[in-house]
Amino acid sequence: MRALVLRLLRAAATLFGLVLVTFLLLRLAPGDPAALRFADPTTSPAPGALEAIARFREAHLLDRALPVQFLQYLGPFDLSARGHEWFGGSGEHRWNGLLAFDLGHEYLRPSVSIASELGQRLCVTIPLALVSALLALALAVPLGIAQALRRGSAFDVVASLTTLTLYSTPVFWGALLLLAAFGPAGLGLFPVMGSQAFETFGGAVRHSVLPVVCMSYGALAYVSRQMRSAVLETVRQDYVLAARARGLPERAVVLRHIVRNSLLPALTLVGQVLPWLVGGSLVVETVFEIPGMGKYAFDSLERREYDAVAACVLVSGVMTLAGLALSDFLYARFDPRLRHGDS
Amino acid sequence: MRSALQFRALVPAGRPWLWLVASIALALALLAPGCGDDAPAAPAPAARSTPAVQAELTAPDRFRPGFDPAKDPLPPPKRGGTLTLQIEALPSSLNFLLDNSSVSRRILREVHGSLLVRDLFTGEHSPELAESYVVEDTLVTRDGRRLYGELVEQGESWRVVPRSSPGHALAKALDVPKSDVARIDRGTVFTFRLRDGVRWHDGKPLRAEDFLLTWRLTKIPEVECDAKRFMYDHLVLAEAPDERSLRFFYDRQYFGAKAVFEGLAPLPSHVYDLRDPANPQHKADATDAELARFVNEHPANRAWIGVGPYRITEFGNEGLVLVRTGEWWNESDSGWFERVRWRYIKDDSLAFRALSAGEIDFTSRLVAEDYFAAATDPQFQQRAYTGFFYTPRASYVGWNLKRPKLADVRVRTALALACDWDAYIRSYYRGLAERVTAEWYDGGRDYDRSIVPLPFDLKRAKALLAEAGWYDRDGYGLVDKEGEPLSIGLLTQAGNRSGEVFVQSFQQTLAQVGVRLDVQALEWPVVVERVNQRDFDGVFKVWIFPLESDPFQRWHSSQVGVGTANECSFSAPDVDRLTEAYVAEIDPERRGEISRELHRRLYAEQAYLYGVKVPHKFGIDLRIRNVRLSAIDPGYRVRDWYRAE
Repeated sequence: MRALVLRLLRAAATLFGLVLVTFLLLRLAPGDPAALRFADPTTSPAPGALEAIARFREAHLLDRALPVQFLQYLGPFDLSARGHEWFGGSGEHRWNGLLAFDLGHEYLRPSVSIASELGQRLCVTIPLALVSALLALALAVPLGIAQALRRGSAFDVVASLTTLTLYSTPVFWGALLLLAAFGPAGLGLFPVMGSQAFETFGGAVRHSVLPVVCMSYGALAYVSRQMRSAVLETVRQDYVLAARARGLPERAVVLRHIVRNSLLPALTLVGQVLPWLVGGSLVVETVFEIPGMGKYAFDSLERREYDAVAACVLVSGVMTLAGLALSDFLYARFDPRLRHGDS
Repeated sequence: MRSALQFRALVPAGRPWLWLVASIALALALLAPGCGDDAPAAPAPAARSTPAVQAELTAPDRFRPGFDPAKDPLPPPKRGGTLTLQIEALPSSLNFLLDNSSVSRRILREVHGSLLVRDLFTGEHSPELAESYVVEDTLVTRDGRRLYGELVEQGESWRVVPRSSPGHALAKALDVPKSDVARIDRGTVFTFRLRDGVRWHDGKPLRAEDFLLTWRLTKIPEVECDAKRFMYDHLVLAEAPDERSLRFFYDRQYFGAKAVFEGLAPLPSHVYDLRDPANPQHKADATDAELARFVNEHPANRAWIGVGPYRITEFGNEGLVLVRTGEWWNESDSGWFERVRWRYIKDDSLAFRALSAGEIDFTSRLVAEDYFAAATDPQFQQRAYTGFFYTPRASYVGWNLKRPKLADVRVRTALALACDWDAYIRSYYRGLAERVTAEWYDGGRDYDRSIVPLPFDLKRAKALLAEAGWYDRDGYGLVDKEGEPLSIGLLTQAGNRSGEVFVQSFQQTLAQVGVRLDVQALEWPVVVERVNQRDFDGVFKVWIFPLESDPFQRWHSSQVGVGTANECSFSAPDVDRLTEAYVAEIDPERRGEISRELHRRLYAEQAYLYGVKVPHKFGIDLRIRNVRLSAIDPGYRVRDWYRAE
């Protein structure tokens, strides 16, 4: 119980640090959402735009000191003119900010709640990330095992080179290469955009192939290399030698003693892959124009939607912490030594 | 991430060699400054009775390969199908008061309507939601009375004849002695008779009250319509004599009086007006601030209820879907496609690929590399074709005249002479773009086409700099004055390919006259902030302007300040007088004369280094027919198009 409380406290401190750093980075970056809201880049600023900018900044406390802005973002009290009476507000909107579970509304689209928008975007990103994670794991685990068991063979060398190349290939580059090869300009097998909403299920699947491949190849390379190392490590263990000495068939040695024990480090990766993929979706979604969380974060950053970007970072942070917790849980669940240590 | 997008913009689809060839061509052009076309263009006759727009583009399917209207008549239009078009951004709102972006205007054209509409192909205004309208004048007497009607001069008096009905303030004509008249304002009272039987998409009838609500909201500061509010500043009074009549009063003569009614669209009072008993959230004593917040944050801003021939059925993160209502008052102009889908594709190169793959039917945002690559791409040509058109928009470099080094007109003129726009046009646009000398529509009355753009002339540029005291005193290769080299910062938007190509070439040609150009490619929000704060030397931008721009905002000395439209902080008494005269002149011909004088005066000042008229390069599915192009934004009319299989 104490461990759980400690863990929750650590997670809360990590999230607070994340929120603070994100807030500072965003607010200290040049650019002003108010200027963007009232200045169309292709036309002259309208007369009165300055007054509008001042009103906008005042309404969103963008004209206040950074600590005040941070407290407004953190909550739970709304410090604006419409906010809590304790802070001189009208009492119309008392609660605000993260501690009030309110992610706020967008600056440019005030009718859009960031929480609901993020929810919609996650409905696009999470299925893509899950499919990518499953694909990566399904291919990476057997590949890593096969490589390790045939260590030094031509297959191992080729597979190692391939995974190393994949691991070193930036996602945006991979995406562009895949588009060039399989998009309309190449073999024409897949569409250029990752559209989903307007398509049938079959269409959505077709549109998702290239993005899924892009999102999974890095994870595949990473997990397979980890798996190979884990198997190689296990093969050298005394209990494997003992199993072989007992005359067990090689198949049984591999499946029961080597693979099972090597899966342990891979299990810990399971929890880390999902947040990694969700974070990596920023690039893939932007290149393929997929309206997921990554693209939302990127577009919001361009529009200086501070709260929306911070919300995306926060969700990624929460998922990362949850992933780490899942890893620890799986490790404890499948490693008897840790279970005994706990008891 | 940015680099990924930039890379995509750099590489033409499937044809990297084109990129290479274009780069070499540009390099050669830049290395051979003497090859620029220095000869001044032959002066064109000044526009004396030019129409509002030039109509040379309006032949249907003008760019369709092999299409000859004489031999190959258009196939009969057929109703049905889906048209898919690219939009480069999602509108933040469809409430036209809150979002004045070109994207929302494009969509609203199909789903909404206004009192007057400007014909895209003639430039003339005609009633849309109004079936007729009457324009009257105002006579202001010395004792402050304002009488309106048709003013007829009769010897020593003015006769005020009431022409509009119902509810006119004068029951019969009235004679006013000239000695009692303080002022006469022409074209200041507009009375509209609304079309009968127009209904909102939710089935409720359109009422005069819906227009009054729009007008009232523009007067509430908290309503976030600041991009449009100034248009209604002089519209000081509005009334609805009955359910189907509206009367609007201007407080002065205003050149854009009629154009204001293009933007005066109705808002459903039963949805947006808290004080309307028909509103489900009715609150009779709602304050202006409450009403403003209600409007600013109303869900209907996205779930739009309009009065146009199409209604919105989907508005998501991938775009919008419009469906023909089939109940519009003008069936013959209600569109041929049953569905119109606006697909949000931010990356223009991706839109080109989507068009090649048949995923969209139209994009008007082809980048130069893709546009020229399409000409040799058999896969593209099987499915689509390309073309171009111009709407009033031009690239320019704005100089900050508050900077002492740029305050001297000789320095600014030297910078203009050291800019090889022609090489830029030849290399980047392959001749498609055209030079301009003002931020006015060059096909209209206001533009003086006799003005010859400054040539590329490094020798003259150097001489002018020397005359202004800038020459290379220390032998380091840069001109200097009072111990300071002439170094100019230029802001440009990062990732804007045309901007990058231009600033690179400008940097090189300026170096040849000893001027250093420090290019800062920044994110757009940062550019906007720096320009608003006047924290810049120069900025490269593309400006979209209306058919008739208001020069007062851009050039009048009263507009000098932080965050205003007078970005270069220009100030000159004679220009002030011309801009004041322009905005008060309602006769288009006389206004044209003023504008052309202003044009000549301003071009001599070189406060802006005017660049090129940027073409809209479009690609369209071969099966889409009856595509007419126009100089009025957006340059085409989706409602005329149909698919011929």
